[in-house]
Amino acid sequence: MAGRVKLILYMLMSMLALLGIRAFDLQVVTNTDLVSRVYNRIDHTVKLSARRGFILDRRGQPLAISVSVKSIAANPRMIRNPGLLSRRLAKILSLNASRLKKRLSSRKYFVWIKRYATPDEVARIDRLNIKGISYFTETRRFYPEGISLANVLGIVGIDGDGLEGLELYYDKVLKGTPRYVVVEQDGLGRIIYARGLPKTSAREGETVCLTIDRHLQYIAFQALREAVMKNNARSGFVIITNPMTGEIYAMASFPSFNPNNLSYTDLLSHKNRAVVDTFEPGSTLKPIWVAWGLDNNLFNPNEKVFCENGEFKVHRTTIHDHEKFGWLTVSDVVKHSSNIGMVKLVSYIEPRSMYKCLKSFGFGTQTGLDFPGETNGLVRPYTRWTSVDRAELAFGQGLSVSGIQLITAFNALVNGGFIVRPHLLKYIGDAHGNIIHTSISTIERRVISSSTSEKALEIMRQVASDGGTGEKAQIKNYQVFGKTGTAQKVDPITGTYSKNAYVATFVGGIMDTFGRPALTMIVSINEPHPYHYASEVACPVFRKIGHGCINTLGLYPVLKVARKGDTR
Amino acid sequence: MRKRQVDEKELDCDLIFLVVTLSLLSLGAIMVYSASFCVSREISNSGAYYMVRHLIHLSIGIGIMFSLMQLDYRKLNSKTLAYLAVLAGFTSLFLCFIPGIGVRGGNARRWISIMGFTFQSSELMKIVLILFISHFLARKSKSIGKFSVGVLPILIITGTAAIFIFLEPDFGTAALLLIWAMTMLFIAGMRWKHLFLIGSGSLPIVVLMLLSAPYRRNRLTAFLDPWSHIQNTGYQIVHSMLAFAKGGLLGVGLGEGTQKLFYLPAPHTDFIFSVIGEELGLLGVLVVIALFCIWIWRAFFIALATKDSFGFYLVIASCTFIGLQAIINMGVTMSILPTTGMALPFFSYGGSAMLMVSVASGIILSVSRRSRI
Repeated sequence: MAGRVKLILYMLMSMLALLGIRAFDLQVVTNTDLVSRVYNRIDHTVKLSARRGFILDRRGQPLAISVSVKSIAANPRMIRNPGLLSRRLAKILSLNASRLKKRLSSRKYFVWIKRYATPDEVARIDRLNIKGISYFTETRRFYPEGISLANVLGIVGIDGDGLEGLELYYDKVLKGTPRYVVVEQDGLGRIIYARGLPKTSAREGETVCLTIDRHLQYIAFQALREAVMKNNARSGFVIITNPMTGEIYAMASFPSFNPNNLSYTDLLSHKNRAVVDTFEPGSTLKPIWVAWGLDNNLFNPNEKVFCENGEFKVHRTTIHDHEKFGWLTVSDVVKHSSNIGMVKLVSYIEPRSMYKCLKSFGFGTQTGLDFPGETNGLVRPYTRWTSVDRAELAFGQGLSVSGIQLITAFNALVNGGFIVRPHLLKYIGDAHGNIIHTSISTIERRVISSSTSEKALEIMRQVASDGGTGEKAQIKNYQVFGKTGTAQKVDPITGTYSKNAYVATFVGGIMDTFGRPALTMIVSINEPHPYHYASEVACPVFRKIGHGCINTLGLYPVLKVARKGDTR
Repeated sequence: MRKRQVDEKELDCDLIFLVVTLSLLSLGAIMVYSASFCVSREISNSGAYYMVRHLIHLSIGIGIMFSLMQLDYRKLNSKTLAYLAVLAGFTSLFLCFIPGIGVRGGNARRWISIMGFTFQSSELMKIVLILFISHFLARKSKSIGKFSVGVLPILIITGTAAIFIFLEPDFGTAALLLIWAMTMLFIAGMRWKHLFLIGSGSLPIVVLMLLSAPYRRNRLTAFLDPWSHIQNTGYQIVHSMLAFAKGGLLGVGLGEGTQKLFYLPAPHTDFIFSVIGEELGLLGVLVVIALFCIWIWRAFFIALATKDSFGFYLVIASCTFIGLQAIINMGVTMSILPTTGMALPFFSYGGSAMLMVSVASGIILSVSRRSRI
């Protein structure tokens, strides 16, 4: 028996010895090989996002900032009574109690309860003093201008990526360079901070300063919203630019959304309609044809055309005017917006030249605005035009343009003939406030001579004078110019022009003291009811915003030449 | 005067064995604190949650050990007690499967809850079987050569216990129980013929049981090739080996290990040896192995010095059980054996396991005091 006992003892001892040998093998012989084998499989670098840069308006006022917000999380393993707790939390945070209970009952070590809680919510939950609840400071994007600039600025996702608008377009600049640091992580993927993080040079997000003027933006948005509501319209947009530099002072779309309380339910409201939507420009195209004809010496401003007393047949189609006109000068054709007069004037222009005109004014191609998703619009090649198509093009039907295209073309009419690329960026600054890139206005090309531009400006000043279609855009003591446009919309069902869906547009501007265009503006209201004429719908909006612009930009009235007898 | 005579017959306990036992327990307590700190933080506000509980278990355990040391173990050599204990053991195993009393942990029903105390039935069964087998072998030592009289009763009782435990499911403990019973029968003088018969007869059954559950098959494949299964089934074993590898010769230092941070499953129970390997290095590992060596060697020494056969079997049974369990656990952490959920005696956190270890050690100490009788 003693022999067997000893045999067992020796067996146990040799097994223990074997364990010792195995330990020696693991820990001294193959250890480095084994460690590298496991470590090469695991990514030990983590991305630490830099603070996202601010977006400022042209005066340095904040338009988008990153603020620290508390988020509430829980460790379900430490929660004793998930049912009761979820009811109490759901009440304070207005969440779904049963869904919360499910999360709190899980076997996980970490669940979010609410991201981006308000300070009040945090305080109320903190007062409950519950074990297993913790708070994390996160950065959240905040937009002080709220709804008025939301379509332009866009949004940032919960993990800090720009998803729409300028937040997307300038995402790389705003995001900065994230730090990649080598860290140790625990088995659940959490970083072990006990030994601190290694220091690396990180580039904070840069500041993007826009050409937008916060005040003008607000004024434009409020006036637009009021007009869309009052006219029972579907939507609308306003762009205010500096015609000389292409800077955009304001760009408002309605409907819009509240970027500080996203719901993602109505994504249509996220559209920046001034850039991504197209419409038929209607009569707003007339001054462009006239300028092109004048520039090519096809007619002169005082030449007269017969307007057929309001009815004119082109092939099987009859063209109407809104009033019966007889003989009108070229400038009066624009002033009264006679379709028939315009058809006759455009007939002087070769189709090829017409196409060239549209292309050089920038229709059918993107303007190059620094905004994602800009539309090309649509200009069909002249080889496919019928005579009716040509006639309709004369009063701006049969092509589609975007708001930004139209105002860019319009700017060329009034700024001496230059297509200036529109832009929203003023400069990019680093985190310390130094300017590292300034946006310089770019002239794309010259489309008309400066003398033609002056003539076009004078014709459009007539539009906004007494008796013109833009009469209601007048601002007292200031010189206003522009052109109205009431375009029929194509009915999506029948494919023909609708009898009751119109786009009412006014493109115009205000002169400064010396008679030069100080700013230009496009106001476009989509499907207004019951009044659909631009003169009724769009012009008053222009005037209203114009008043605000004068105050904000400090424009002086046009100088008056003293007459004999004037005492003051 | 008569009482005094009796006292004189009782010797001092085996000092080496006592010192080694206490060393193992103290080292265990330190390692439980280190290994459980972060796990404690996840389930409570304090890192000492498991540590405090372990210290409570430890003090109760040491109390039981010293009380048993005072007790004359021969009083335990009673047929009634042996069979009552077996009855109690089976009852507690059975209760694991009764809803309301049996407690689930993960997918296993290994615990019973009575009056707020949760207890692992298989640990009680280990003590019961030590007592029963020692009593049985001491009584039937002359007829051990006869299969039906000497071998079969033990096979039936341990086999039934093993089936219960297997159904919990706890394949490792069930297998350990059978291996240990065979070892005891072998020491008692069972015939080689019978040993081979039982061995060859049970092998296919064991293999079948091993492959019967998908999770056991996964553990087996993960054991055979942990690197191809590193994302799922091999994850635990790779990180256990990594812990040893990171430890190197001298270890990363007490408390400095990172594999216990939720890479290792159950760092304070089943995989505490990996934490020792990482934090105390090869040096610490060899110290632990050496302590187990001395402990086993000293127990065998006590057993061989005893003239009473019940005492002899008690010591051998306790010591081989704990020794085998320790070897299996350490083998698992170093990937010599496939993963089974088994505690490392003296080290792992767990009240029932601590109770079993202290009862076994107490019995061995009690025998050591009376080895001349």
